[in-house]
Amino acid sequence: MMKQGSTYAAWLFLILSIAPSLPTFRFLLASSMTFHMLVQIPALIIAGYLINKQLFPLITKPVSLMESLAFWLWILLTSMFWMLPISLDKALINPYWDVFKVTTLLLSGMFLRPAFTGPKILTLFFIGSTIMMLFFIGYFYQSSDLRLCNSYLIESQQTTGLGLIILAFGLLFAGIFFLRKEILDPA
Amino acid sequence: MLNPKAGRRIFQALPKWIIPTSVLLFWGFFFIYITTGFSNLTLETERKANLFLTKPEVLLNLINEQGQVVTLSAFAKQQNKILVTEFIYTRCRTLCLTLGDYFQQAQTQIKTQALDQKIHLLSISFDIKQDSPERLKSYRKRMRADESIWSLATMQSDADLIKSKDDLGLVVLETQFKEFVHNSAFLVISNHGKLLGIYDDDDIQGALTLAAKQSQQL
Repeated sequence: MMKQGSTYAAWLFLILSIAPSLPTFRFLLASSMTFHMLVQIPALIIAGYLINKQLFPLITKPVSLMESLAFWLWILLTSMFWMLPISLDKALINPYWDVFKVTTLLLSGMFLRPAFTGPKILTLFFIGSTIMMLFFIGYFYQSSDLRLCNSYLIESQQTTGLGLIILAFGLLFAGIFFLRKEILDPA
Repeated sequence: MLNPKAGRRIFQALPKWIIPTSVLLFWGFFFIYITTGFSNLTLETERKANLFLTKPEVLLNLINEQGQVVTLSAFAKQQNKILVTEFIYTRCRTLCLTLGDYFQQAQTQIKTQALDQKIHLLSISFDIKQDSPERLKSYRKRMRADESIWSLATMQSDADLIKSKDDLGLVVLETQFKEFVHNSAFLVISNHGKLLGIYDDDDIQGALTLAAKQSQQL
């Protein structure tokens, strides 16, 4: 019963995270950069994670060093790509880029679980890089006087920047908490 | 038909480093593709770079301060000068004021360098509903724009706004306070209505330099 409940929840999450990309709900993405970057993009990653966990467990076995490296690289590069101002603009204007966005982000969510089963040193390194990247891009968005995305207002851009910085700190604390054993006793 | 077992055997025979390397190559390709070789990180820089390559003819119908409909190329031919153009709306209290300041500076510079027979300034409003000829006239007073150097006009219809969005990459978003958010640039247009160059909104000097250079051929 419990299992079925969480399966429904995973399906619901998947639908909700894709919905803003559909023409009917597109106004949500168009209205605010914060919604696009801090709601839809993380939601797609979480939805991908839930797909792999609840719906179609594709990769369950622990993975080798190279596979883990590949998963982490995919996750890092995908999130970096979707933080470029030009990518956000293009995803909003061009449906093909938006399909690309949904697919790549769902995949990086699906890769999260197997990536974590790899060597801990990789986990620490890539979580660290992601936090640094979030922090610097957030700072850049928050402090820039230029409107970086043609489709969004500067206020929205600054709020997004602040949100990214908060997200970076949140991930840092969560990372320290969950990896406390590895950090204190790396051997 | 591909035998799945054979496929798996081929996959296992490949060296393991192929997987992370192909991830790197995949994303490397898309990073280079979307930023045109890391040169355009924003859509605005891509827009300007593309317009410098294509240099399209600017086909717009305008309504001038006298309420007459005139096409942009007809206006350019009639003036027989190089046009430096900006897109504004007259109620604007932020970006357009800066653009207006730059145009005032340009006006003074054109006068002092005696280029008034060579270069003409044109502010085009995209606020089709509100910027009537009367409003343009009061904007002229406010900006102390000299008629022989600086003209004002409004786009005739929504079709012109759509055309400028499609052809020139103009972005105009209406906010909930009935204001507009828009990108800004200085466009240099030939005396036949063809785009010669497009410059950032703080680079009026770049636009004037190109206009002065092109005007020597008139």
